[in-house]
Amino acid sequence: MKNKALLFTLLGLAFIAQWYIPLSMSQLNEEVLEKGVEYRFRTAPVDPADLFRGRYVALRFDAASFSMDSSYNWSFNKPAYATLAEDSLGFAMVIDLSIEAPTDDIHYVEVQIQSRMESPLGQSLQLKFPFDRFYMEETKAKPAGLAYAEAARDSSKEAYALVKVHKGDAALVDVMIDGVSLQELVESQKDQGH
Amino acid sequence: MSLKNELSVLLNNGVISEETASRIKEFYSTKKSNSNQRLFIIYGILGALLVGLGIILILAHNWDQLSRTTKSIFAFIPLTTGQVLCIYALWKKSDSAAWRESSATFLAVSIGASIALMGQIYHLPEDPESFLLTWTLLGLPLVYLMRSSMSSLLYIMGITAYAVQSGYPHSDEPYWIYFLLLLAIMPHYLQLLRQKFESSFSTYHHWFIGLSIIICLGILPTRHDEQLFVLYMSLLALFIQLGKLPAFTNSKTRNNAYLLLGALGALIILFILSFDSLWVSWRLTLTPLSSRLSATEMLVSYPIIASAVAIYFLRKRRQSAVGINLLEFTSILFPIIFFIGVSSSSGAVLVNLLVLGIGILTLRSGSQKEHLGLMNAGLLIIAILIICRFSDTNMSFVVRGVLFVLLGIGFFLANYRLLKKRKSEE
Repeated sequence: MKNKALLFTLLGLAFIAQWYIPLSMSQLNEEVLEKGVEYRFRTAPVDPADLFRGRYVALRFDAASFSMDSSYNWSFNKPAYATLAEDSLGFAMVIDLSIEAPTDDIHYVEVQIQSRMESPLGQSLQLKFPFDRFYMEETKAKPAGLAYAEAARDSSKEAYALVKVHKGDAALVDVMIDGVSLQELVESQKDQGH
Repeated sequence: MSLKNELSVLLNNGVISEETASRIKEFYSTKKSNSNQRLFIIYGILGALLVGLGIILILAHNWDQLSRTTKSIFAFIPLTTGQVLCIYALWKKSDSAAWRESSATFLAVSIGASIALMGQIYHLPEDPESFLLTWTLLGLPLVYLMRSSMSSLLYIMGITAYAVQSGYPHSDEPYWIYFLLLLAIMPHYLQLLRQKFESSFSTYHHWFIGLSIIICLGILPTRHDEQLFVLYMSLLALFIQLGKLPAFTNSKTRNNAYLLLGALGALIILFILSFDSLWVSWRLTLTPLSSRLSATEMLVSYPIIASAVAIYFLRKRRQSAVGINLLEFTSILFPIIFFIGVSSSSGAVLVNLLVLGIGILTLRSGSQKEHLGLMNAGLLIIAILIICRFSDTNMSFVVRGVLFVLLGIGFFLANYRLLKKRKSEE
């Protein structure tokens, strides 16, 4: 009997851990969505072959290219922290990159360094933001990807991702094309098609 | 029905006694209930896997109409269902392996599903390493608490995928995590071996663990990549020795994962090293012997080789008639062959002679034991060796052709003779 009690206690602990992980993922992101500051990340043209990986649209951003004049040897495997600001048009841009997290009163996101190139002015870095996938319903992901790729190439269209940033964490809210949510855009295209 | 009829005929004709008849009946009925139980386990696990995967796919559709909260709640449904099933299985059906195995399997799959769905709901970036690591660790308690061997097999697959994802090509991720994770499953494996050595779950564990180690050994940080051959050969030597342990003597060959993996792997390495060009390029690096001997690959190899040797002598002490075949010998002494090869020009020649010897001896032992499989394995080894030499020598087409014809005749004659001998003995 004592053994059984121990067994069920351990099982209970295991079950709590199994709940804890997905629940904490949810909670962290809910907190960011609720308390975060909104930034608009202008999207960059994408390679169409890279777009469809099942049920999501792969996003690329203008702000991911960042040049700085230091010679610091950035590691590809360690996180870096990108300080954000808005440019004159109200889109997000990276103004600084550090290896240690800035204080919480500064808006920043944790990024990864994808590539590094020496340039006459210092070095240019390609950053990977923690929000490069926009998951959609499986039937909508493909038309959405096409609409997104088209808008990202067409300079007359304004395509950006709406992201909330809170204490270094980021949560993707939506992808907008000319002020219309990608989700709605695909739905309206679908309606027109039928 | 037919068994009953047969028994009554035998009984009526006085071939067997009443008592024998009832004992035969009893024997077959317990055998039947055993195999029924096995079927329950198999179908239970299959059912749990299919239902679990089906639910994941349905949820992965990512229903747009549902709000984020509703979707999150849905993500927890399979997890909760699995947990409830596990509690029920442990509470009411603790003695039923079918219940424990299938509920644990379902829960193990659901854990991954709920984490993946969270990633989808919140548009999180891909991070396969931490996903696999979290998943396998959360599923590990099921192996022990639910006494579920299927969860154990899933766990081994999970940690292998994790190691491949994080370790190839070399990354900063600490390589020892995999070995620690593998260690965590050993108590279950050993218990399985002690209690149910002949069970299918044991056999599957031999195969899964053997393959997992072979797949993941290469994540060790290496200084001289060519010495991975030594490391792998040591592992395969150990596998061969494990496969020759008395416990496996009565197993079918295909159930003896360690012997098969070890022998096949060792032969593949020898075939690769029968090409001189590899040895030449390694000699050109002019790496000093001391640096070679103290490289990580070697430091890991020493204890592995030592255990292989220890097992060999243990076997020899227990059974006096233990011989050593050339493949075992080569696999254990391979480090010496390797260092001869990198410091002189005789590496490839040595390996070719050894492979030829292994082929001939296997052929001979096959024909002595009248074992068709073994005999053909020997012929195949010789044939592959010849094909390998075709590619790096400038033999004329006529010579190659004649060799192939001779080889074909050899295959035909050897098999024909053996089959004829068997027939005449019958």
